[in-house]
Amino acid sequence: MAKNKLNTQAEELISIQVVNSIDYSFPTGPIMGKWFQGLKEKKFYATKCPSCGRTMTPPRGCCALCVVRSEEFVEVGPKGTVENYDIAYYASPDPLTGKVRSTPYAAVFVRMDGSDCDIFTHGIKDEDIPKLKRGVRVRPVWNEVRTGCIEDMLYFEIDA
Amino acid sequence: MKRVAICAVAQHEIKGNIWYKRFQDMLLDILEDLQGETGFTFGGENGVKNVLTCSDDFFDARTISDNAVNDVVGAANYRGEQKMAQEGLNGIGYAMADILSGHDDVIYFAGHCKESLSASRNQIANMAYDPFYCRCLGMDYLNAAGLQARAYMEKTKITPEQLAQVVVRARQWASRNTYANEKTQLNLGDVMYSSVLCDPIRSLHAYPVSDGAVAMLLASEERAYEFTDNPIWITGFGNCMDDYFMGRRDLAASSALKKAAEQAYKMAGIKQPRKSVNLMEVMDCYAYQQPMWLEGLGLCDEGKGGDFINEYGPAKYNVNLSGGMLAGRPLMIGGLYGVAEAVLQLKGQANEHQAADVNCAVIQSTTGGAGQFQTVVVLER
Repeated sequence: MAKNKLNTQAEELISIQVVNSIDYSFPTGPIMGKWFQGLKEKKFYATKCPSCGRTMTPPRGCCALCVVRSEEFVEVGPKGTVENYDIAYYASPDPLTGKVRSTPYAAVFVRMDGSDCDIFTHGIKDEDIPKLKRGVRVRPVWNEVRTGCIEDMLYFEIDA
Repeated sequence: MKRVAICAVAQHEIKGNIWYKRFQDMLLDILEDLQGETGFTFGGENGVKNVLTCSDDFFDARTISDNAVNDVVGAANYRGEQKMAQEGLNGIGYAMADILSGHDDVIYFAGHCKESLSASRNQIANMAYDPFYCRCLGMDYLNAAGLQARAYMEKTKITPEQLAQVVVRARQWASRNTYANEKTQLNLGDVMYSSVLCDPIRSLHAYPVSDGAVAMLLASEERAYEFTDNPIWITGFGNCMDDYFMGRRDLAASSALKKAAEQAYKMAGIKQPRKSVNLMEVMDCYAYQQPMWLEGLGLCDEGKGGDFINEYGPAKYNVNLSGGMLAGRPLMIGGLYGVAEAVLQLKGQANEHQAADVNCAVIQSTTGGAGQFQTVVVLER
Protein backbone atom coordinates (compact mmCIF):
# COMPACT_ATOMS: atom_id res chain seq x y z
CA MET A 1 0.00 0.00 0.00
CA ALA A 2 2.71 2.40 1.03
CA LYS A 3 4.74 1.43 -2.02
CA ASN A 4 1.86 2.18 -4.39
CA LYS A 5 1.37 5.56 -2.81
CA LEU A 6 5.05 6.39 -3.31
CA ASN A 7 4.90 5.35 -6.97
CA THR A 8 1.93 7.62 -7.65
CA GLN A 9 3.71 10.54 -6.02
CA ALA A 10 6.96 9.87 -7.88
CA GLU A 11 5.27 10.62 -11.19
CA GLU A 12 4.45 14.10 -9.95
CA LEU A 13 7.90 14.87 -8.53
CA ILE A 14 10.44 16.96 -10.31
CA SER A 15 14.18 17.03 -9.80
CA ILE A 16 16.65 19.82 -10.36
CA GLN A 17 19.86 19.31 -12.33
CA VAL A 18 22.86 20.97 -10.67
CA VAL A 19 26.55 20.98 -11.58
CA ASN A 20 28.67 21.81 -8.56
CA SER A 21 32.02 23.28 -9.38
CA ILE A 22 34.78 24.45 -7.03
CA ASP A 23 38.13 25.80 -8.16
CA TYR A 24 41.07 24.20 -6.37
CA SER A 25 44.82 24.33 -6.51
CA PHE A 26 46.73 21.37 -5.07
CA PRO A 27 50.31 21.84 -3.93
CA THR A 28 52.61 18.90 -4.63
CA GLY A 29 54.95 19.54 -1.71
CA PRO A 30 58.66 18.73 -2.04
CA ILE A 31 58.32 14.95 -2.44
CA MET A 32 55.70 14.80 -5.19
CA GLY A 33 57.31 17.92 -6.62
CA LYS A 34 60.52 15.97 -7.20
CA TRP A 35 58.52 13.22 -8.93
CA PHE A 36 56.87 15.64 -11.35
CA GLN A 37 60.15 17.45 -11.97
CA GLY A 38 61.58 14.00 -12.80
CA LEU A 39 58.84 13.26 -15.35
CA LYS A 40 59.77 16.48 -17.11
CA GLU A 41 63.29 15.04 -17.48
CA LYS A 42 62.02 11.52 -18.39
CA LYS A 43 63.08 10.17 -15.01
CA PHE A 44 61.23 8.30 -12.28
CA TYR A 45 62.13 9.03 -8.67
CA ALA A 46 61.21 6.85 -5.71
CA THR A 47 61.83 7.46 -2.02
CA LYS A 48 63.63 4.97 0.16
CA CYS A 49 62.57 4.30 3.75
CA PRO A 50 65.51 4.90 6.13
CA SER A 51 64.14 2.25 8.46
CA CYS A 52 63.03 -0.75 6.36
CA GLY A 53 64.85 0.23 3.15
CA ARG A 54 61.93 -0.28 0.78
CA THR A 55 61.56 2.03 -2.21
CA MET A 56 58.22 3.68 -2.89
CA THR A 57 57.00 4.67 -6.34
CA PRO A 58 55.61 7.27 -6.74
CA PRO A 59 57.61 8.65 -3.83
CA ARG A 60 55.95 9.01 -0.47
CA GLY A 61 57.29 11.32 2.22
CA CYS A 62 56.43 8.87 4.96
CA CYS A 63 56.87 5.11 5.05
CA ALA A 64 53.43 3.86 5.98
CA LEU A 65 54.83 0.67 7.55
CA CYS A 66 57.48 2.26 9.76
CA VAL A 67 55.74 5.68 10.17
CA VAL A 68 59.02 7.51 9.56
CA ARG A 69 59.94 10.37 7.25
CA SER A 70 61.41 9.13 3.95
CA GLU A 71 63.22 11.78 1.96
CA GLU A 72 66.06 9.90 0.26
CA PHE A 73 65.44 9.70 -3.49
CA VAL A 74 66.53 6.87 -5.77
CA GLU A 75 65.95 6.65 -9.51
CA VAL A 76 63.85 3.70 -10.70
CA GLY A 77 62.66 2.37 -14.08
CA PRO A 78 62.20 3.49 -16.77
CA LYS A 79 61.01 -0.03 -17.58
CA GLY A 80 58.80 -2.12 -15.38
CA THR A 81 56.62 -5.18 -15.09
CA VAL A 82 52.83 -5.28 -15.27
CA GLU A 83 51.56 -6.67 -11.98
CA ASN A 84 47.87 -6.11 -12.58
CA TYR A 85 45.51 -4.31 -14.95
CA ASP A 86 41.88 -3.64 -15.67
CA ILE A 87 40.12 -2.91 -18.94
CA ALA A 88 37.18 -0.52 -18.92
CA TYR A 89 34.38 -1.10 -21.42
CA TYR A 90 31.95 1.30 -19.78
CA ALA A 91 33.22 4.84 -19.30
CA SER A 92 31.52 7.26 -16.94
CA PRO A 93 30.98 10.71 -18.41
CA ASP A 94 33.16 13.54 -17.14
CA PRO A 95 30.83 15.28 -14.67
CA LEU A 96 31.77 18.77 -15.81
CA THR A 97 32.07 18.39 -19.59
CA GLY A 98 29.78 15.41 -20.18
CA LYS A 99 32.45 13.94 -22.50
CA VAL A 100 32.95 10.20 -22.47
CA ARG A 101 36.32 8.53 -23.09
CA SER A 102 36.52 6.08 -25.95
CA THR A 103 36.54 2.45 -24.83
CA PRO A 104 38.13 0.10 -24.20
CA TYR A 105 40.91 1.65 -22.15
CA ALA A 106 43.10 0.10 -19.52
CA ALA A 107 44.86 1.01 -16.28
CA VAL A 108 48.05 -0.94 -15.64
CA PHE A 109 49.75 -1.43 -12.30
CA VAL A 110 53.47 -1.40 -13.03
CA ARG A 111 56.26 -2.33 -10.64
CA MET A 112 59.10 -0.13 -11.86
CA ASP A 113 62.54 -1.76 -12.11
CA GLY A 114 64.43 -1.05 -8.88
CA SER A 115 61.27 -0.41 -6.87
CA ASP A 116 60.42 -3.19 -4.48
CA CYS A 117 57.06 -2.04 -3.28
CA ASP A 118 54.20 0.23 -4.23
CA ILE A 119 53.01 0.16 -7.77
CA PHE A 120 52.77 3.01 -10.24
CA THR A 121 49.52 3.27 -12.19
CA HIS A 122 49.21 4.69 -15.70
CA GLY A 123 47.55 3.90 -19.00
CA ILE A 124 48.66 1.52 -21.76
CA LYS A 125 48.79 2.13 -25.48
CA ASP A 126 45.44 1.15 -27.04
CA GLU A 127 47.00 -1.28 -29.52
CA ASP A 128 48.68 -3.16 -26.65
CA ILE A 129 45.46 -3.78 -24.70
CA PRO A 130 44.81 -7.18 -26.33
CA LYS A 131 48.36 -8.28 -25.46
CA LEU A 132 48.10 -7.37 -21.77
CA LYS A 133 48.86 -10.04 -19.24
CA ARG A 134 50.45 -10.13 -15.83
CA GLY A 135 54.23 -10.21 -15.97
CA VAL A 136 54.54 -8.49 -19.34
CA ARG A 137 57.37 -5.95 -19.62
CA VAL A 138 56.53 -2.32 -20.41
CA ARG A 139 58.37 0.94 -21.14
CA PRO A 140 57.14 4.55 -20.93
CA VAL A 141 56.14 6.62 -23.96
CA TRP A 142 56.84 10.29 -23.32
CA ASN A 143 54.96 13.36 -24.39
CA GLU A 144 57.05 15.68 -26.54
CA VAL A 145 55.97 18.67 -24.48
CA ARG A 146 56.53 18.02 -20.77
CA THR A 147 55.48 20.48 -18.11
CA GLY A 148 55.82 18.52 -14.87
CA CYS A 149 52.47 16.74 -14.71
CA ILE A 150 51.18 13.19 -15.12
CA GLU A 151 50.46 13.79 -18.83
CA ASP A 152 54.23 14.17 -19.39
CA MET A 153 54.06 10.43 -19.86
CA LEU A 154 51.49 9.43 -22.49
CA TYR A 155 51.19 5.78 -21.48
CA PHE A 156 53.17 2.57 -21.20
CA GLU A 157 53.75 0.31 -24.19
CA ILE A 158 54.79 -3.31 -24.26
CA ASP A 159 58.57 -3.64 -24.38
CA ALA A 160 58.96 -6.16 -27.14
CA MET B 1 34.99 8.50 37.87
CA LYS B 2 37.90 7.60 35.63
CA ARG B 3 39.66 10.50 33.99
CA VAL B 4 41.04 11.08 30.52
CA ALA B 5 44.11 13.24 29.94
CA ILE B 6 45.49 15.29 27.11
CA CYS B 7 49.18 14.51 27.53
CA ALA B 8 50.66 16.84 24.92
CA VAL B 9 49.77 18.93 21.87
CA ALA B 10 51.53 19.92 18.65
CA GLN B 11 50.50 22.84 16.46
CA HIS B 12 51.54 23.58 12.92
CA GLU B 13 52.22 27.24 12.33
CA ILE B 14 49.11 28.80 10.75
CA LYS B 15 49.52 30.70 7.48
CA GLY B 16 47.21 32.13 4.88
CA ASN B 17 48.54 29.85 2.15
CA ILE B 18 51.00 27.05 2.92
CA TRP B 19 51.53 26.51 -0.82
CA TYR B 20 54.85 24.73 -0.29
CA LYS B 21 53.41 21.77 1.62
CA ARG B 22 50.67 19.22 1.14
CA PHE B 23 48.46 18.73 4.17
CA GLN B 24 50.11 15.33 4.49
CA ASP B 25 53.48 17.07 4.90
CA MET B 26 51.98 19.27 7.62
CA LEU B 27 50.58 16.26 9.45
CA LEU B 28 53.94 14.48 9.37
CA ASP B 29 55.63 17.54 10.87
CA ILE B 30 53.31 17.67 13.88
CA LEU B 31 53.41 13.89 14.33
CA GLU B 32 57.19 14.09 14.64
CA ASP B 33 56.90 17.02 17.06
CA LEU B 34 54.50 15.12 19.29
CA GLN B 35 56.51 11.89 19.20
CA GLY B 36 59.60 13.89 20.06
CA GLU B 37 57.89 15.38 23.09
CA THR B 38 56.17 12.26 24.43
CA GLY B 39 58.06 9.31 22.97
CA PHE B 40 54.88 7.51 21.93
CA THR B 41 55.03 4.88 19.18
CA PHE B 42 52.60 2.90 17.06
CA GLY B 43 51.99 -0.81 17.40
CA GLY B 44 53.50 -3.23 19.85
CA GLU B 45 52.21 -3.87 23.35
CA ASN B 46 52.15 -0.23 24.48
CA GLY B 47 51.89 1.60 21.18
CA VAL B 48 48.95 3.57 19.82
CA LYS B 49 46.45 1.14 18.30
CA ASN B 50 43.74 3.57 17.36
CA VAL B 51 43.95 6.91 15.62
CA LEU B 52 41.43 9.72 15.37
CA THR B 53 41.54 12.31 12.60
CA CYS B 54 39.57 15.40 11.68
CA SER B 55 39.26 16.75 8.15
CA ASP B 56 36.66 17.90 5.68
CA ASP B 57 35.83 16.23 2.37
CA PHE B 58 35.11 19.47 0.54
CA PHE B 59 38.19 21.31 1.79
CA ASP B 60 40.34 18.32 0.84
CA ALA B 61 38.42 17.80 -2.43
CA ARG B 62 38.00 14.08 -1.94
CA THR B 63 35.43 11.93 -0.29
CA ILE B 64 36.34 9.98 2.87
CA SER B 65 39.16 12.48 3.26
CA ASP B 66 40.80 10.57 6.13
CA ASN B 67 41.76 7.72 3.79
CA ALA B 68 44.33 9.97 2.12
CA VAL B 69 46.28 10.78 5.29
CA ASN B 70 46.49 7.37 6.95
CA ASP B 71 50.26 6.97 6.56
CA VAL B 72 51.16 10.31 8.16
CA VAL B 73 48.93 9.66 11.18
CA GLY B 74 50.32 6.18 11.73
CA ALA B 75 47.16 4.32 10.74
CA ALA B 76 48.14 2.77 7.42
CA ASN B 77 49.72 -0.39 8.73
CA TYR B 78 46.55 -2.09 9.96
CA ARG B 79 45.59 0.15 12.83
CA GLY B 80 42.15 1.46 13.72
CA GLU B 81 41.21 4.92 12.53
CA GLN B 82 38.10 7.06 12.82
CA LYS B 83 37.38 10.47 11.40
CA MET B 84 35.57 13.27 13.09
CA ALA B 85 33.61 14.77 10.20
CA GLN B 86 32.57 17.69 12.38
CA GLU B 87 34.39 20.54 14.04
CA GLY B 88 37.50 18.96 15.60
CA LEU B 89 36.58 19.82 19.18
CA ASN B 90 34.00 17.03 19.02
CA GLY B 91 36.88 14.61 18.61
CA ILE B 92 37.84 15.34 22.22
CA GLY B 93 34.52 13.86 23.32
CA TYR B 94 34.92 10.99 20.89
CA ALA B 95 38.42 10.11 22.11
CA MET B 96 37.29 10.43 25.71
CA ALA B 97 34.41 7.99 25.10
CA ASP B 98 36.81 5.59 23.39
CA ILE B 99 39.15 5.59 26.39
CA LEU B 100 36.45 5.58 29.11
CA SER B 101 34.76 2.61 27.44
CA GLY B 102 37.99 0.66 27.87
CA HIS B 103 38.31 0.12 24.12
CA ASP B 104 41.64 2.00 24.01
CA ASP B 105 43.95 3.58 26.53
CA VAL B 106 45.97 5.86 24.23
CA ILE B 107 44.67 7.80 21.23
CA TYR B 108 46.61 9.83 18.69
CA PHE B 109 44.38 12.61 17.35
CA ALA B 110 45.35 14.80 14.38
CA GLY B 111 43.30 17.33 12.42
CA HIS B 112 44.08 19.41 9.37
CA CYS B 113 42.45 21.96 7.11
CA LYS B 114 43.84 24.04 4.27
CA GLU B 115 41.36 26.71 3.37
CA SER B 116 43.75 27.90 0.67
CA LEU B 117 43.22 24.83 -1.53
CA SER B 118 39.98 26.26 -2.83
CA ALA B 119 39.92 29.50 -4.77
CA SER B 120 37.44 30.74 -2.17
CA ARG B 121 36.44 29.09 1.08
CA ASN B 122 32.99 30.56 0.46
CA GLN B 123 32.63 28.11 -2.43
CA ILE B 124 33.09 25.31 0.10
CA ALA B 125 30.71 26.83 2.64
CA ASN B 126 28.13 27.28 -0.12
CA MET B 127 28.09 23.48 -0.40
CA ALA B 128 26.92 23.28 3.20
CA TYR B 129 23.55 24.56 2.04
CA ASP B 130 20.71 22.79 0.26
CA PRO B 131 20.85 22.79 -3.56
CA PHE B 132 17.22 23.90 -3.94
CA TYR B 133 16.84 27.17 -2.05
CA CYS B 134 20.01 28.49 -0.48
CA ARG B 135 22.94 27.29 -2.58
CA CYS B 136 21.68 29.01 -5.72
CA LEU B 137 21.23 32.26 -3.80
CA GLY B 138 24.91 32.22 -2.83
CA MET B 139 24.31 31.41 0.83
CA ASP B 140 27.51 30.57 2.69
CA TYR B 141 28.91 30.98 6.21
CA LEU B 142 29.76 34.63 5.57
CA ASN B 143 26.20 35.44 4.46
CA ALA B 144 24.77 33.47 7.40
CA ALA B 145 27.04 35.39 9.74
CA GLY B 146 25.83 38.65 8.17
CA LEU B 147 22.25 37.74 9.04
CA GLN B 148 23.25 36.77 12.55
CA ALA B 149 25.42 39.84 13.07
CA ARG B 150 22.52 42.13 12.16
CA ALA B 151 20.16 40.28 14.52
CA TYR B 152 22.67 40.28 17.36
CA MET B 153 23.66 43.93 16.91
CA GLU B 154 20.04 45.06 16.93
CA LYS B 155 19.27 43.02 20.02
CA THR B 156 22.29 44.08 22.05
CA LYS B 157 22.96 47.54 20.60
CA ILE B 158 26.63 46.59 20.48
CA THR B 159 28.53 49.36 18.69
CA PRO B 160 30.99 49.27 15.76
CA GLU B 161 33.64 50.62 18.18
CA GLN B 162 33.11 47.69 20.54
CA LEU B 163 33.35 45.17 17.69
CA ALA B 164 36.51 46.89 16.49
CA GLN B 165 37.98 46.55 19.98
CA VAL B 166 37.50 42.79 19.77
CA VAL B 167 39.55 42.64 16.57
CA VAL B 168 42.27 45.04 17.73
CA ARG B 169 42.73 43.03 20.93
CA ALA B 170 42.86 39.73 18.99
CA ARG B 171 45.73 41.00 16.87
CA GLN B 172 47.58 42.28 19.94
CA TRP B 173 47.51 38.83 21.54
CA ALA B 174 48.29 37.09 18.25
CA SER B 175 51.55 39.01 18.06
CA ARG B 176 52.73 37.04 21.12
CA ASN B 177 51.65 33.64 19.79
CA THR B 178 54.21 31.73 17.70
CA TYR B 179 51.54 29.79 15.83
CA ALA B 180 49.11 32.63 15.02
CA ASN B 181 48.47 33.58 11.40
CA GLU B 182 47.68 37.31 11.13
CA LYS B 183 49.76 39.50 13.43
CA THR B 184 49.40 42.86 11.68
CA GLN B 185 48.49 45.40 14.34
CA LEU B 186 45.36 47.47 13.82
CA ASN B 187 43.66 50.50 15.29
CA LEU B 188 39.91 50.93 15.76
CA GLY B 189 39.54 52.98 12.59
CA ASP B 190 41.24 50.31 10.46
CA VAL B 191 38.53 47.85 11.49
CA MET B 192 35.57 50.24 11.47
CA TYR B 193 36.30 51.51 7.97
CA SER B 194 37.61 48.32 6.37
CA SER B 195 35.76 47.28 3.21
CA VAL B 196 32.29 45.80 3.59
CA LEU B 197 32.15 42.04 2.93
CA CYS B 198 28.56 41.34 3.76
CA ASP B 199 26.83 44.15 5.59
CA PRO B 200 27.20 44.58 8.58
CA ILE B 201 30.36 42.43 8.43
CA ARG B 202 33.49 44.23 7.24
CA SER B 203 36.64 42.54 6.01
CA LEU B 204 38.53 42.99 9.29
CA HIS B 205 35.58 41.56 11.24
CA ALA B 206 36.16 38.25 9.46
CA TYR B 207 38.84 35.67 10.23
CA PRO B 208 41.67 35.50 7.67
CA VAL B 209 41.96 32.55 5.27
CA SER B 210 44.06 29.98 7.11
CA ASP B 211 45.90 26.68 6.71
CA GLY B 212 46.89 24.59 9.71
CA ALA B 213 47.14 21.25 11.47
CA VAL B 214 46.95 20.22 15.12
CA ALA B 215 47.79 16.98 16.90
CA MET B 216 47.46 15.69 20.44
CA LEU B 217 47.97 12.57 22.48
CA LEU B 218 45.18 11.47 24.81
CA ALA B 219 45.48 8.73 27.41
CA SER B 220 43.76 7.07 30.33
CA GLU B 221 44.72 8.20 33.82
CA GLU B 222 46.68 4.97 34.29
CA ARG B 223 48.90 5.60 31.28
CA ALA B 224 49.03 9.40 31.01
CA TYR B 225 52.18 9.75 33.12
CA GLU B 226 54.13 7.58 30.68
CA PHE B 227 53.96 10.54 28.29
CA THR B 228 53.94 13.65 30.48
CA ASP B 229 54.54 14.83 34.03
CA ASN B 230 51.62 17.25 33.95
CA PRO B 231 48.58 15.81 32.18
CA ILE B 232 45.61 18.07 31.52
CA TRP B 233 42.24 16.52 32.36
CA ILE B 234 39.11 16.61 30.26
CA THR B 235 36.46 17.28 32.87
CA GLY B 236 33.54 18.50 30.77
CA PHE B 237 32.12 17.92 27.31
CA GLY B 238 28.86 18.86 25.65
CA ASN B 239 27.50 19.57 22.19
CA CYS B 240 24.18 20.64 20.76
CA MET B 241 22.59 21.09 17.33
CA ASP B 242 20.26 23.86 16.19
CA ASP B 243 17.96 23.80 13.13
CA TYR B 244 19.50 23.60 9.66
CA PHE B 245 16.84 26.05 8.45
CA MET B 246 17.90 29.46 9.63
CA GLY B 247 14.43 30.90 9.27
CA ARG B 248 13.28 28.83 12.22
CA ARG B 249 16.11 29.90 14.48
CA ASP B 250 16.43 32.86 16.79
CA LEU B 251 19.75 33.91 15.32
CA ALA B 252 20.49 36.43 18.10
CA ALA B 253 20.17 33.79 20.85
CA SER B 254 22.85 31.17 21.35
CA SER B 255 20.29 28.48 22.16
CA ALA B 256 22.43 25.51 21.07
CA LEU B 257 25.50 26.90 22.79
CA LYS B 258 23.65 27.34 26.08
CA LYS B 259 22.63 23.68 26.02
CA ALA B 260 26.13 22.51 25.09
CA ALA B 261 27.64 24.64 27.86
CA GLU B 262 25.07 23.40 30.37
CA GLN B 263 26.07 19.78 29.63
CA ALA B 264 29.78 20.51 29.83
CA TYR B 265 29.54 22.53 33.06
CA LYS B 266 27.35 19.89 34.69
CA MET B 267 29.82 17.14 33.84
CA ALA B 268 32.68 19.25 35.19
CA GLY B 269 30.71 20.12 38.34
CA ILE B 270 30.84 23.82 37.50
CA LYS B 271 27.86 25.67 39.01
CA GLN B 272 29.07 29.22 38.51
CA PRO B 273 31.30 29.50 35.45
CA ARG B 274 32.10 33.14 36.22
CA LYS B 275 33.78 32.01 39.44
CA SER B 276 35.37 28.78 38.19
CA VAL B 277 36.61 29.46 34.68
CA ASN B 278 39.75 31.50 34.18
CA LEU B 279 40.60 30.93 30.52
CA MET B 280 38.35 30.91 27.46
CA GLU B 281 39.04 29.93 23.85
CA VAL B 282 36.02 30.78 21.71
CA MET B 283 35.64 30.29 17.97
CA ASP B 284 35.10 33.87 16.89
CA CYS B 285 35.10 33.58 13.09
CA TYR B 286 33.52 37.05 13.02
CA ALA B 287 33.98 39.80 15.59
CA TYR B 288 30.37 39.84 16.82
CA GLN B 289 30.69 36.13 17.68
CA GLN B 290 33.15 36.63 20.52
CA PRO B 291 30.71 38.53 22.79
CA MET B 292 27.81 36.45 21.51
CA TRP B 293 29.43 33.12 22.34
CA LEU B 294 30.53 34.48 25.72
CA GLU B 295 26.88 35.25 26.44
CA GLY B 296 25.96 31.70 25.48
CA LEU B 297 28.72 30.34 27.71
CA GLY B 298 27.31 32.29 30.66
CA LEU B 299 30.35 34.53 31.08
CA CYS B 300 28.28 37.63 30.52
CA ASP B 301 24.58 38.46 30.81
CA GLU B 302 22.29 37.87 27.85
CA GLY B 303 22.29 40.86 25.52
CA LYS B 304 25.10 42.56 27.43
CA GLY B 305 28.01 41.64 25.17
CA GLY B 306 28.82 45.32 24.55
CA ASP B 307 28.94 46.17 28.26
CA PHE B 308 31.13 43.11 28.79
CA ILE B 309 33.68 44.56 26.38
CA ASN B 310 33.54 47.99 28.04
CA GLU B 311 34.09 46.39 31.43
CA TYR B 312 37.22 44.50 30.27
CA GLY B 313 35.44 41.13 30.47
CA PRO B 314 37.69 39.56 27.80
CA ALA B 315 40.77 40.48 29.85
CA LYS B 316 39.22 39.33 33.12
CA TYR B 317 38.45 35.85 31.78
CA ASN B 318 41.58 35.56 29.61
CA VAL B 319 39.51 35.24 26.43
CA ASN B 320 41.46 34.11 23.35
CA LEU B 321 44.97 34.92 24.50
CA SER B 322 46.08 33.00 21.40
CA GLY B 323 44.48 35.63 19.16
CA GLY B 324 41.61 33.21 18.47
CA MET B 325 39.94 32.72 15.11
CA LEU B 326 40.13 36.46 14.40
CA ALA B 327 43.90 36.13 14.13
CA GLY B 328 43.43 33.24 11.68
CA ARG B 329 42.67 29.60 12.27
CA PRO B 330 41.22 27.21 9.74
CA LEU B 331 37.61 26.16 9.91
CA MET B 332 37.04 22.56 11.12
CA ILE B 333 40.03 22.63 13.48
CA GLY B 334 39.62 26.06 15.08
CA GLY B 335 38.40 24.31 18.24
CA LEU B 336 41.39 21.98 18.23
CA TYR B 337 43.73 24.95 18.10
CA GLY B 338 41.71 26.26 21.05
CA VAL B 339 42.41 23.03 22.92
CA ALA B 340 46.10 23.22 22.07
CA GLU B 341 46.25 26.79 23.38
CA ALA B 342 44.34 25.89 26.58
CA VAL B 343 46.60 22.88 27.23
CA LEU B 344 49.72 25.04 26.91
CA GLN B 345 48.18 27.66 29.22
CA LEU B 346 47.22 25.04 31.82
CA LYS B 347 50.71 23.53 31.66
CA GLY B 348 52.29 26.98 31.99
CA GLN B 349 53.96 26.62 28.59
CA ALA B 350 52.32 29.44 26.66
CA ASN B 351 55.48 31.54 26.78
CA GLU B 352 54.90 35.17 25.80
CA HIS B 353 51.12 34.98 26.11
CA GLN B 354 51.00 32.91 29.30
CA ALA B 355 48.28 33.96 31.75
CA ALA B 356 48.76 33.71 35.52
CA ASP B 357 47.12 31.00 37.62
CA VAL B 358 45.11 29.18 34.95
CA ASN B 359 43.49 26.04 36.30
CA CYS B 360 40.15 25.76 34.48
CA ALA B 361 39.79 26.44 30.76
CA VAL B 362 36.71 26.36 28.54
CA ILE B 363 36.94 25.83 24.79
CA GLN B 364 34.00 26.47 22.47
CA SER B 365 33.71 25.70 18.77
CA THR B 366 31.05 25.73 16.10
CA THR B 367 30.24 24.51 12.61
CA GLY B 368 27.35 25.15 10.28
CA GLY B 369 25.99 28.54 9.33
CA ALA B 370 25.68 31.12 12.12
CA GLY B 371 26.74 28.76 14.89
CA GLN B 372 24.26 26.00 14.09
CA PHE B 373 26.21 23.29 15.90
CA GLN B 374 28.02 24.09 19.13
CA THR B 375 30.58 22.21 21.22
CA VAL B 376 32.04 23.00 24.63
CA VAL B 377 34.96 21.34 26.40
CA VAL B 378 36.25 21.97 29.93
CA LEU B 379 39.90 21.27 30.69
CA GLU B 380 41.55 21.38 34.10
CA ARG B 381 45.02 20.77 35.38
